[in-house]
Amino acid sequence: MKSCLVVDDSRVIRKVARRILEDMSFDIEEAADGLEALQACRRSMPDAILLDWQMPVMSGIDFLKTLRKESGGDRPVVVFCTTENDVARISEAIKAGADEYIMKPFDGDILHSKFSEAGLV
Amino acid sequence: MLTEAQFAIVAQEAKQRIGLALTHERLAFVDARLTPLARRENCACAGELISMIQRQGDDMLWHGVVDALVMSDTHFFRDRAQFRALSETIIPDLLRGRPAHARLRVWSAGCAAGQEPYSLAILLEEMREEGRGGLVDILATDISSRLLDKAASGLFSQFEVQRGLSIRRLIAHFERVGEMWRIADRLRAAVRFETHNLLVDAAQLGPFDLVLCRNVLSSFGEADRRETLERIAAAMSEDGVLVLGAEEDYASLTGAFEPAHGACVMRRNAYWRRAA
Ligand SMILES: C[S@@+](CC[C@H](N)C(=O)[O-])C[C@H]1O[C@@H](n2cnc3c(N)ncnc32)[C@H](O)[C@@H]1O
Repeated sequence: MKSCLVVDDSRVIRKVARRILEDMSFDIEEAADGLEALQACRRSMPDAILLDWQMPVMSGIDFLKTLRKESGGDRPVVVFCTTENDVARISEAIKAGADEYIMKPFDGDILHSKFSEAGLV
Repeated sequence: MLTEAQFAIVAQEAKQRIGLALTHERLAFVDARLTPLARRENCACAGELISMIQRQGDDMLWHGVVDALVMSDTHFFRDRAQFRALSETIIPDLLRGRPAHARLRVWSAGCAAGQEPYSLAILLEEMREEGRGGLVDILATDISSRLLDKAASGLFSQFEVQRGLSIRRLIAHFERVGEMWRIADRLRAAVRFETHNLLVDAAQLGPFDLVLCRNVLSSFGEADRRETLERIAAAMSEDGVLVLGAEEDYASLTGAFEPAHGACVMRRNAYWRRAA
């Protein structure tokens, strides 16, 4: 079973994402901001990370930049999932090492499509 | 709710006009699809709409009824494995069999809102960038002018561009306009859109080297399926390839094709001749 860390400061979004990803047979862990996510990754690197951008304490993009420098941090497939839908922002995320990018709002179809694009299903 | 008799009339019109086969258990579906149209025509319900059309014998309204019943679900790069096969074997094989200056003629038959032909245009552009492309013409047709207008606009919602497109493809080939995304002009120019009913002869549109007719024939009855396959064959070059939907295995319906690259991809049978 593949593991996915769901990082979002909204508990509702985490719950929605968890339900969809569990149906896709992912083992889910949750984090409410970038710092919590980093701690979770240091304990154990997940196969995939679904990552919000705007979060208190540490933003998604700062988390991603830090993660990619950690040992083993190049391994997780990172899928941004954010309301940011500016082309400049998307490019910035890709440059920082994101594999895929979802613009909110999302649903099961989109999550499934993007996880397939990223080679996760 | 439509009466059984009204449903039978709608089903007959749908079959005659566009080949759409509606079985009995679709009554609630038809009713739900026709209700918004009924409201626009100041009728209380779908049943009243059908009575009115019958009374007036209004052909334009039948047109609207049938258009409302069309199944138009689609997305970019639908059935990724088929697009991989197109890029890795089907298109390279077709190109190899032709002189370098010849244009490969491609037909997306039943293109809905354009995701299928635009996916092809993107694929071909990527192949050219990798130095293994060729000159290609893409014709995309559908019965629904409503869907064709949307296709030709090249505008897609944020929801639509996230079904089947990788983020790299999205930012390489689309620009954001307000809440929508528009495909690049060069790709829009690569596809020609035309209205065409697959129930009528298509030979004058061709000959095509590659035809995609995916998830269209599944809504037809068996006789219309076979006849449409033969009309498509008659519009193809002798070694042309036809790609059906990933779950559409109709090879046994006609001698016009033989299976190639698996059941849903067929090659035109070079010896087949259409019955006079
Ligand atoms: C489910 S969509 C498939 C779109 C696309 N080929 C795909 O696979 O995603 C079916 C399309 O076939 C079109 N169609 C149905 N009957 C047709 C007919 N008789 N002639 C031409 N197009 C037809 C519908 O309007 C609709 O856009």
